[in-house]
Amino acid sequence: MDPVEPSPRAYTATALGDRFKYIIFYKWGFVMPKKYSWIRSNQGIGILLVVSFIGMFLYFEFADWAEHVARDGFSIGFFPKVATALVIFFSFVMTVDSKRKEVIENVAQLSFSTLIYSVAITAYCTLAYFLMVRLGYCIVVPIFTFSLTYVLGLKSIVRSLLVGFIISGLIYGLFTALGVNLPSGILPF
Amino acid sequence: MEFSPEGFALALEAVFQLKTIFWLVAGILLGVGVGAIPGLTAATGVAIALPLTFTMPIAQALGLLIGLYKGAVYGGSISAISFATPGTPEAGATVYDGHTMMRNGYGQKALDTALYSSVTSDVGSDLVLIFCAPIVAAFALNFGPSEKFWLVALAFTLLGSLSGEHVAKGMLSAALGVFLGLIGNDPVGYVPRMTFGLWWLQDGISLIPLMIGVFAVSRMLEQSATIIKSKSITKKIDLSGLKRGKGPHLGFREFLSCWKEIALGFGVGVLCGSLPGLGATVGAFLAFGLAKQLFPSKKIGSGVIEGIAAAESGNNATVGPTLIPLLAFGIPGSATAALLGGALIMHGATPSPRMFSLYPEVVYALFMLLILGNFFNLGIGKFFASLYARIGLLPKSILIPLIFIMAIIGSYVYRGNPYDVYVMLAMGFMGFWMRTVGIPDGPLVITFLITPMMESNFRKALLISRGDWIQALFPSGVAITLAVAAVVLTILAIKFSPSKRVKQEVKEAEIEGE
Repeated sequence: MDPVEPSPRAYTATALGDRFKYIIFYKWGFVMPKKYSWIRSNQGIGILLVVSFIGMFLYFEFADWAEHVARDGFSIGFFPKVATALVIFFSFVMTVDSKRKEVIENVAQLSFSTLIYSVAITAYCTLAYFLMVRLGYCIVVPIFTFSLTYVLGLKSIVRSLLVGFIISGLIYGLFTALGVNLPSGILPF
Repeated sequence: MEFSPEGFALALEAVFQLKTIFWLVAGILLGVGVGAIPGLTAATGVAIALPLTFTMPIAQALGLLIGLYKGAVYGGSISAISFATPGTPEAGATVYDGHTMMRNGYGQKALDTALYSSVTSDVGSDLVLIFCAPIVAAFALNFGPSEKFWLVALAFTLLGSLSGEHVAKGMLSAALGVFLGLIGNDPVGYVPRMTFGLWWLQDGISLIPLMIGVFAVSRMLEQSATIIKSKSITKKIDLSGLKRGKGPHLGFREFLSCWKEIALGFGVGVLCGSLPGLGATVGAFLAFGLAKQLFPSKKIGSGVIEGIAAAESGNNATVGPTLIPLLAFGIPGSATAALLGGALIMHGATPSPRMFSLYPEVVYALFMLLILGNFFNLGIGKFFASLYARIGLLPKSILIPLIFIMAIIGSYVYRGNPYDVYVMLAMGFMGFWMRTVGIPDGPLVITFLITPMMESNFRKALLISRGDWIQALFPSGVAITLAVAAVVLTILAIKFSPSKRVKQEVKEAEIEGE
């Protein structure tokens, strides 16, 4: 493989890596196009998961309900703890297996803005739903669709409005035809 | 499994109704569109359409969902051939030969090959399902709780080790599914567990919001974040070569000359479909890779119909067999099978080995719809492929809000429980992050679905054996065989990872393409 052209699929974390590993990875065809922080490697993600789920395990360990014993002799906390232990185990495997230093393409390209956008869109959808059940489908959904369409690149306000109304109307028609009542809110329909 | 003439008559009556046929055709029309639009998969389409089926009779609901599934699996090839962007991951292998043919002016021939080989393999795979599922289900009827527990454990390990190229991440996804599946009241003690003090979690996480969140909302979050960040504008793509009647069509003899590649793709697809965790993408790439190795004289990968035939028959042949574990054991073989299982549960026909005797009319209706769907798929694909290529270019700025609204409304109308929408959005957010860090989402949903089965069978086995763990876990040869199979197959899956082979195949094809 030409060292100038890095494989986009295999980025290697460097912060914890040593130079010998670097050479081995290089020989295997993996090259380091850019230095990424260790936290982006599988090992970093695995450790974050291990720590979070150990916290969860401890929460189950000390929860009141976990001590109750069911008729068949199992404590209520047994299966949740087994499931949490499985998650911890496989997260731990991520931190020690042969791919532990790999940084996958999506994580390599991940930026703080991605986090902000994903949270913002989820929050916006939550708000849309919250308002929809109070104000009604016919008021909230066209505005939601219009705004999202506009933000996502249909830069004409008139076209975005049109798309917003058409999509909302189509979904309303479809569900109404199927006998499903959508939230009417303050409107009679 | 005995044939039920009454069930068959009921199924005939339910399927050959105008409404059922209407929903089947609507499903295929919608499905081919979903498949043709890059970024939307069969699972996304079925998840979004699931809420539409709440008020329908079961045959109509199955008609819509099966039509969508079949249409989407084929539809992926349209955008793969037309503009080298596979509409669905399973159509990735079709790009190499399909788009080269398109560039050389043989776009119509490429589309014809994709359609005919898809439908041929699909019909064959449905027949495999129809003949194998009842036999396997009859065998599974003899299973006790221990055997059922090991069967689920086997599915867990297969799903984890075969999904994706990083085994630890696949297993982690499966474990997360078990974790989520345990939330809610304990089935024996009726004491709330893992509810974090939230009363509305006592019934557990609902399947439908989870599926919509993981399969639809997560993908839309991913795409919207990418669009906002990159401010990407849809490229203008010349599709004039796809106008109907333009360019040479595929002759019948020419199609028959690909029989070896179709047969190979069919075999590989059936195998990949039957094993939980592999699925259509692996089926398509393995078939393509094997055909290239076995028939070097045909120069597969350089723009020949044989390459399309192998890849398309490889992915479509998984459609039927992926339902075998669902109908025979109640364990879905793929994400889409899990969605169909969810639809069956929602309509009161829980998939299990007893389904053939309890709901024969549902099983026969499913079989009839699967077979019928192929003919409609053929007709729709033949006459509207060029139109769908244009639909594939539909701006994401229109599609994403549409899917978000469908997801919110779908979760809301499922039980009228407002918290379902919050759960759906939370699952979507979680799915988005799982996808970002490379954790596959399929195993999570499937293990979520089968966790109650695993828990109840394990507890039953211990009750029967009066607390003797060895007797509970290994009471018979079948249980021991299944336990050994779980271990051996996992080791084999790790060693000969089919996903790794697929990755290698992609790399090789990319290098050759350059």
